[in-house]
Amino acid sequence: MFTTFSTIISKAPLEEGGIIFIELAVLSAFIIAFAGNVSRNPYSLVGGSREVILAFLIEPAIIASVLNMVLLNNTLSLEVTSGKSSLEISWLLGIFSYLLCLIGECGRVPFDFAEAESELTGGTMIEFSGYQLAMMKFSQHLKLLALLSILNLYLTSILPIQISQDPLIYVISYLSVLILGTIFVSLAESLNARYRLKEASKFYAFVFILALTALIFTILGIAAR
Amino acid sequence: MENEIICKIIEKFHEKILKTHKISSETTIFEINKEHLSEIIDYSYNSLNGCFLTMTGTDYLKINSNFLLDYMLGWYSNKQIIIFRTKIHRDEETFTSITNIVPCADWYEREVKESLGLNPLGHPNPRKLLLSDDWPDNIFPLRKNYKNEIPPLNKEANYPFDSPENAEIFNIIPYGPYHFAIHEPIYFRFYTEGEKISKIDLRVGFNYRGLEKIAETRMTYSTIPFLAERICGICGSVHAEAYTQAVEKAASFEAPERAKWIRVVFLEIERIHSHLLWLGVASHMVGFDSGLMQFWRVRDRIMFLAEILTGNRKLYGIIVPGGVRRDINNRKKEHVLKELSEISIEYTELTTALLNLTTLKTRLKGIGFLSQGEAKKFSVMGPVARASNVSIDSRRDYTYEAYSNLEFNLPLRSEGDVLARTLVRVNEVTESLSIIKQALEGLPDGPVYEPIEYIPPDTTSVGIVEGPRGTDVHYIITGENTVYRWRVRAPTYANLPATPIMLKDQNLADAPVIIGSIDPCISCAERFIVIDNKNREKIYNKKILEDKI
Repeated sequence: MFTTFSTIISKAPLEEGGIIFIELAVLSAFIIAFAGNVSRNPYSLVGGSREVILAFLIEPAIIASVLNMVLLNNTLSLEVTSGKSSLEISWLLGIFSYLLCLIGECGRVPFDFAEAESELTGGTMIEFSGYQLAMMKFSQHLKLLALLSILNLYLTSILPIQISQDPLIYVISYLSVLILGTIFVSLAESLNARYRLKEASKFYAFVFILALTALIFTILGIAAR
Repeated sequence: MENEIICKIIEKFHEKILKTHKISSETTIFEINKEHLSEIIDYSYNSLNGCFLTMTGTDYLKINSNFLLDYMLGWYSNKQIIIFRTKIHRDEETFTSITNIVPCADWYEREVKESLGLNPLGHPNPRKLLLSDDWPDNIFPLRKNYKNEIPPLNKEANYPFDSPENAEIFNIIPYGPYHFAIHEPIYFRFYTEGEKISKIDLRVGFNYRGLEKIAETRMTYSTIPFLAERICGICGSVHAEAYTQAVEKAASFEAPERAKWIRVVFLEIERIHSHLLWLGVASHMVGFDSGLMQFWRVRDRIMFLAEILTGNRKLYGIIVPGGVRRDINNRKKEHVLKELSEISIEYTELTTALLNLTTLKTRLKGIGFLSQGEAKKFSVMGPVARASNVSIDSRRDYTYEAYSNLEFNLPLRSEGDVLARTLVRVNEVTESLSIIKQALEGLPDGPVYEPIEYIPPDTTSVGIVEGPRGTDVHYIITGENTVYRWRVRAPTYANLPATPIMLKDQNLADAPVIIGSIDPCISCAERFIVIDNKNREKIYNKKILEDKI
């Protein structure tokens, strides 16, 4: 699924990359939900419905944080941006809310509701085996990679490494973002128990407010200029 | 001076009690006619706040043409156990059910029905409990004339699940018999509305092992402790101790003093091991795998202690009638004390760090609630009872072995939720570490084993031990060189029927940890049937499976 995702995103017109990214991120949730529904397995069904709910919880926050970055960089493109930003509060809040969305978007603990091994014995995954299961699992890791890559694009727009234009430094910075992002997600996974949907909705309501605040600051900043 | 509880019952029912036998300092048998059973138990259980310990049916036909029905109630604070015994003539095969007045008698009466063929009249839920669906209706495995050659019928049979009204509006979520969160075969059927569990049906009986029948027919007094230990892979010593206690009481035998102290060491090592295992599993059930790894890391050190003392990490094989099989020498004692002090520090750091994590506390708090009233009504045991502010612990109340010489606190909580059960277990580990330290430091000199000369037949006796999951009750009637009747009542048998109450209206996401919060041990709870499948077993090889697919 996410092999397709990455293929599409890599071939997408780069000027509209941000929009395509959001669409595909939402689409992935619905694919899991459809996979859950077709099997008629009760665990799959519950897993699928949880995935849809999670998508509804996360998407507003992630849209707000991506929109914030778009406004800060003055482009929808996923290519290396030409816009300029500075380390300001709206940028920090935006990045932070994006990172928090990333955990849920990748279905990692504490937001692995659709799989929820101890409750739903794998949820939607229960109906897959062999290479299909392997591809599902692989796609989850790929999704984390894709989302961190997008984060990297926005980070490089502000950090001095972008200015240097040295490919080696750029590769190092890219790998650093991947490693640090993975550590962040893994730490969140190791230090938390799985939330219930109720707590997740409260959490992402908070993240949405955070992203919205960042967005408002950005708009106010642009208006002031 | 007669116990207050006994006085009250005799005073009220002196004309209806046929005979009274005192079989040990804390246990008395009242013989009563079956017509008066409901009335007397109703008063004893509901008015005098008795705790239902166990019920046993015995085929006594060869001896006096009767079946025996023994209902056992306990009063922890009064240090009293009363067995209400009634006889059922071989031609009658019925008795009046008391489940309507004592809800926790439900499973026991169903078990008597299917194992001995005694029908509890008026039972509100007469479905099969432990036997398979295709078990013949007229064959009763715990009757003495039962032949092992009878094979299962292998016919189609449907279990009558208890479904709610308007069942079509609910989503049915099966939990088990084999489910990731339930580590032994048991089946919960959840009727859910969205993620809310609206109704629960529970089915047990997937674990047929026949331990009691094997003991009665093939083993001797001295070999049964090893079988008892295999009832459970976690609290094996508790079962061996309860059986041993029952045999020693029947023989009016007092184990050597040093053996009593050593037994305490192993019972407490087992409690720590069990609680650490549970804490790890509970963490995993709420998706907190770091907790699982950390608690199990410390648990491994406890298993290492057991290995130092017995040579085995589990199944110690140490407690037998007459004493213990291995002594603890000074070198081992010092080693264990040193390890204990390190484990104690490590455990305190670990629980402080992990149990203060907000997400973990949020997941455990306010779920699986069991009120004090419900806990008493279902006579739940151990940490489940103590988390609902029911102060019972047989170590303190029915003091056995060396517990009367040791100081320990009884952790109690009043919240009645899963977090309370967790905290009770966490504190119990600390107390157990202290008990082991006291027991090792105060170990008296002397022998650790003395043979029991004579065990009189036809003697009823009870062993009662506080296991990690609650009170473990072993009831025996002695025979010739082996038990005539052996009834094991593991704490899970008492705790499990209360889980539907804890699960009602809860979130589906909380179901695993709520079920897990009673620390269920299904292999303990189900244990009585022998199925001899000799020459009838079928092995499915790869080819057969591929053909089927």
